[in-house]
Amino acid sequence: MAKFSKKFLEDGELLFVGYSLNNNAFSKSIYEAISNHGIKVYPVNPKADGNHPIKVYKDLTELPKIPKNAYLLLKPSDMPKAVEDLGKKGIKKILVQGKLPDDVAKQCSTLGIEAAGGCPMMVFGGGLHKFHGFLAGVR
Amino acid sequence: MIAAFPLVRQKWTNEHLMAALVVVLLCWCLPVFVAQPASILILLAMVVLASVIDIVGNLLHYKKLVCSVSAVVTAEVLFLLTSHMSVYLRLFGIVVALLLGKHVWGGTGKNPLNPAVVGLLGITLLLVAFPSVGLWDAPPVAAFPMSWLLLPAVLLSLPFLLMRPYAAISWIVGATVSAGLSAQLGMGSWALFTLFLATMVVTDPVTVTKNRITGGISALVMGLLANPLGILGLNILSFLSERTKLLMDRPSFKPLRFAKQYEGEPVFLDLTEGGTDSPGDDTLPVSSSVILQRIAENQVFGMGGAAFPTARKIQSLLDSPAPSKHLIINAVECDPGLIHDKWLMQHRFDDIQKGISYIASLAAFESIAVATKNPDVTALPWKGIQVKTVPAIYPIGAEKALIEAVHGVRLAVDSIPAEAGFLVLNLQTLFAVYEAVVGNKPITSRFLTVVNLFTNRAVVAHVPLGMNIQKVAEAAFGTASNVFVGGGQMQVCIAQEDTVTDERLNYIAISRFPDYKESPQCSGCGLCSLHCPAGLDIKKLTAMAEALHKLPENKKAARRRLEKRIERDHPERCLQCGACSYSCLAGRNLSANMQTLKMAYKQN
Repeated sequence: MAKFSKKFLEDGELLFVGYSLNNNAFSKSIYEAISNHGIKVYPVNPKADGNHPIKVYKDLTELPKIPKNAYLLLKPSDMPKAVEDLGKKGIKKILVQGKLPDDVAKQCSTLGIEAAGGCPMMVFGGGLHKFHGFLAGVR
Repeated sequence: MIAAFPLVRQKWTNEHLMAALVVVLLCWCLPVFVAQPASILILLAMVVLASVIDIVGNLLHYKKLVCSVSAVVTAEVLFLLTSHMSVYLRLFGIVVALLLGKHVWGGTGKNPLNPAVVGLLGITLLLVAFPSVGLWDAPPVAAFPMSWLLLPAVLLSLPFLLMRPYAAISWIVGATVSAGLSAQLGMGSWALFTLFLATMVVTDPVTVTKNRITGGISALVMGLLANPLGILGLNILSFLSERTKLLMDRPSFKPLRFAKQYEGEPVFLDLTEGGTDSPGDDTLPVSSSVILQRIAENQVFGMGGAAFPTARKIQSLLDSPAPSKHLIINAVECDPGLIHDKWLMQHRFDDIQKGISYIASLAAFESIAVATKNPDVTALPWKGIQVKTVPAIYPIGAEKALIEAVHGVRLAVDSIPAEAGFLVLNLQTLFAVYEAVVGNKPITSRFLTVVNLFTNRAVVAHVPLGMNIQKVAEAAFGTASNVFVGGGQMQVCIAQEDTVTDERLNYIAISRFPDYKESPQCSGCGLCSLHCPAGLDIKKLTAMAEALHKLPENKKAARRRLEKRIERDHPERCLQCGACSYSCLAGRNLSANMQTLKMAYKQN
């Protein structure tokens, strides 16, 4: 398991799997915080209906290009399938919201994917998030 | 429909103001802390209890955590008003303040009465009912002694007078008269107490009306009572005044002013194939009928953002029964993000002047004026055209605002300027007229402003209509992430991958996402209405719109009643300028709500 830090998502592009369309405030704040750092974010949600201020892709086939890095905001039970699909698309690094589940860590290791657990707001957020990131040692 | 929003917002928020209040109130507590250090623990207990009640209350109202610093403010005010009371009475006061003074009404921004004073009332009633409850079991501490310790508090409190200056000063006058009559004028502690109430309690924008007349008269009368409970009377009169519109001021309007924001001179970028060469021989004479025909056939449209067909506008003017006709060239560019019209004036002056002459030949204009906020424009060699300098305020470039600024004529809200004899054309539209008449080809390109707000640089771009926005941004700044587009900095949307340049687009920006917190807690500051050029009560309209949104569809009678109330406040007059969203201290995109209301009522 890799350590999450700013360097982990340095490639300039990020796939955001599980961008929420309903309870949107958290997803929106993460999307904006990462975008404000010059990283192009591609949000994905299979329920996307095109009626959203930003472009949300329904699945990976719609994407104009597949980034090397992905961030998963999913329930632990949904992660293995997502990791399998992402592995087939050539994803090299995966950041999981919160703690990285052991089975997902093992799966990523088998697929040759570098995986980490953490919250992007600790690195990209402002205000209290900066303090959280400092305490967690990721800033 | 995706709502537009201002790309930049004012930096102050309710949280900043509340935090400042907390600090200032702590300064007021200094003498008490010094005289009785244990009182710090009492204040802490009151703050913790207030915060817990507020957090639970907010969770019940909003189903999410929201800022509860206002509860800390309530606790501090009540702490100072109850310095002679036992800790149990004070904690009882906190419960009454937060529950009956705030959350029973719906939470922050919805309470008509000041929570701290409601808490004080609760304690007073308890003592009246149960006198044996007792007061302080230790010697009481004077909360407002004549002490240098209060100097920081006094100085830091004075700026808060600006929140409700008429009410606050009237309170001081009323209390002074009362003190004079009761021979207390010589007592410094009385003065400090009065100043504390005037700056820290009477200026609460949620519970005291912003109306100068009602606020002033009510505060004067209640100040004469010389009792903090009189503030409840002020709150009730404020509430009644706002609901019944009794003794309301005329709405005052304070326009927004923006500072220059780009570094260095703008670069010019031509992304069209044809370039900006002259479209043809502009020395050949052209008759009025040919001019109008070419404007129509080549589909010249308003380049200010509305994209209205120019030929139709001119025809409306020609058909107008108005006794005199006036031409105004709109070179104001009042949106703070735009610079391309200024660039055009500097680099295509002769072509624009020719365009103006074509329009001038179509009618017997009594006056032809170019309106600008830039005094340097007067130095340009205008021929037969007056230059009118207008204030650099937003949104003075809006058609009717401009007519009023240039000619002093205020047109009715639903009137059409061209039909009233006023033809207002954007500067770039006149350049398009020139190109259409001389070149006799359809308009297929436009000038717009492309900016990078990370580096504060701007580019004037000449782009073909239908060009992908991401490509324009990449050509200008080598990057296409975080791209926003719109009519100007005050009206943008997030650009999608397939967004292209069109007739309405004036502005492309690479920028941070603006921070719209969308806090549900309106503090009643009134900045939204103060900065609204249409004079709308934005706070009231958006509150009603939210109430309508929450009403179930099957409650038709209630919905109809609410819709009629909304209609009376004329949401259709909204100019969609974005000034309310820019000013909102709660970080709300109010212009999105207004856009929804406006469209709904235009359809009805």
